[in-house]
Amino acid sequence: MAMPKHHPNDETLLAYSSGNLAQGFALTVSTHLGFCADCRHRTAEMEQLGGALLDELSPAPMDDAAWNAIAARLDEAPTVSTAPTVPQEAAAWPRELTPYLPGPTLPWRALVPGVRHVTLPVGIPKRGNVRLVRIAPDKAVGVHGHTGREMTVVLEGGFSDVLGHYGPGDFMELDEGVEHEPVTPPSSHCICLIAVESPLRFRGFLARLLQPILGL
Amino acid sequence: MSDRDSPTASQLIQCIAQTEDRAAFRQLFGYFAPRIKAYLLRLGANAAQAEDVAQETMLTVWRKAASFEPAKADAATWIFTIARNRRIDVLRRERYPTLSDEGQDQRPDDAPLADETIGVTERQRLLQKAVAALPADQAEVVRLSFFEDRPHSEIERALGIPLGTVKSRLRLAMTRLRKVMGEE
Repeated sequence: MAMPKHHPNDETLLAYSSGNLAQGFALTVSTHLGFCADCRHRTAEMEQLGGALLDELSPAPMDDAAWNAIAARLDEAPTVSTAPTVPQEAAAWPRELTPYLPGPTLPWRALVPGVRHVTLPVGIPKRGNVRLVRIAPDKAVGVHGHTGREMTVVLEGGFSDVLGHYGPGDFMELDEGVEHEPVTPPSSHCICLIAVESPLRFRGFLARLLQPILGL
Repeated sequence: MSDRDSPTASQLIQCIAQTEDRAAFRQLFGYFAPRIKAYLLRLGANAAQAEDVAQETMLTVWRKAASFEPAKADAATWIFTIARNRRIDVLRRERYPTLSDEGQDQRPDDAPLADETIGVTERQRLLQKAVAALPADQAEVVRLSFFEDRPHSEIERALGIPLGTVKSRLRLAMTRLRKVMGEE
């Protein structure tokens, strides 16, 4: 598999490694890691930093009863979670993502002609959402801006915008205020995982009128 | 763990994996549980939550000892990642999206961290020294990244410095630390 060309930056990886990202954003990062050996390596380094910092913290004494309490639990059988059934169309996606899919089939819903989506049951602040978005070939999604952070990772196919071409595994983070217009190539569809902190803002009267209805 | 004559944390975890050695676990618990508790307290948890996460983390260490790979990570790093995930389980009631542990062997492209001639424990010691040697402003943003449960935009407010400065200090710090870890 070709290595991704677009990666999370150091701040985002550090926030991920320290457990500081909301679940939806962390999922886009872990999904990228499923594609990217380089970023797995960078994450391992940052976790090593976390280990070094943990190791040098001044200990906070545990309750006197703490050891007895844990010793009593060592023979407990751990609860075994069964792996969820992975939807067939998701079989080639990173296994970092598949446990968070809503079930054995993906309930795609039409959003606008040529664009379908599935909302994932994953946490994200500020009335945002985490979705799979599937865009038909040769489709321009429309110029839109962002009112909050957005993180995207490509799962299949790809798209282009002013920032370049994005293919499988590529990661894109957009900040508030950035506007772009993704376009899919003529020959293939694109499936992305997109986490947005708050609703996207489309330009144009009609788009704005439709936006509340479409739930974008 | 610093006492050179006693077994290393990494050896203790391997004893637990091989023989369910409770004495080894007790020693590991005595060292790490209070540090995990301190980590949680730093992140704003109350004492009961901090105890709870320390217990849950150590129970996971006991149960998953066999999946610890001493050649890949040192004990403190492995335990840190478990504590990080457990904290989110317990406090946010969410499962933190992590690298999948199933079939890691199917990813042969993952090089070991840096120079294999230095052991992971030795590298951890070098890294701690390097963190201690960071300029104060860089060390501060690195520590806040791990020990404050808030985004960098809020660290910016806490320190009263612009977000761009927080980010550039983090980048400088990571560049220095990567050198110690044998890169760049």
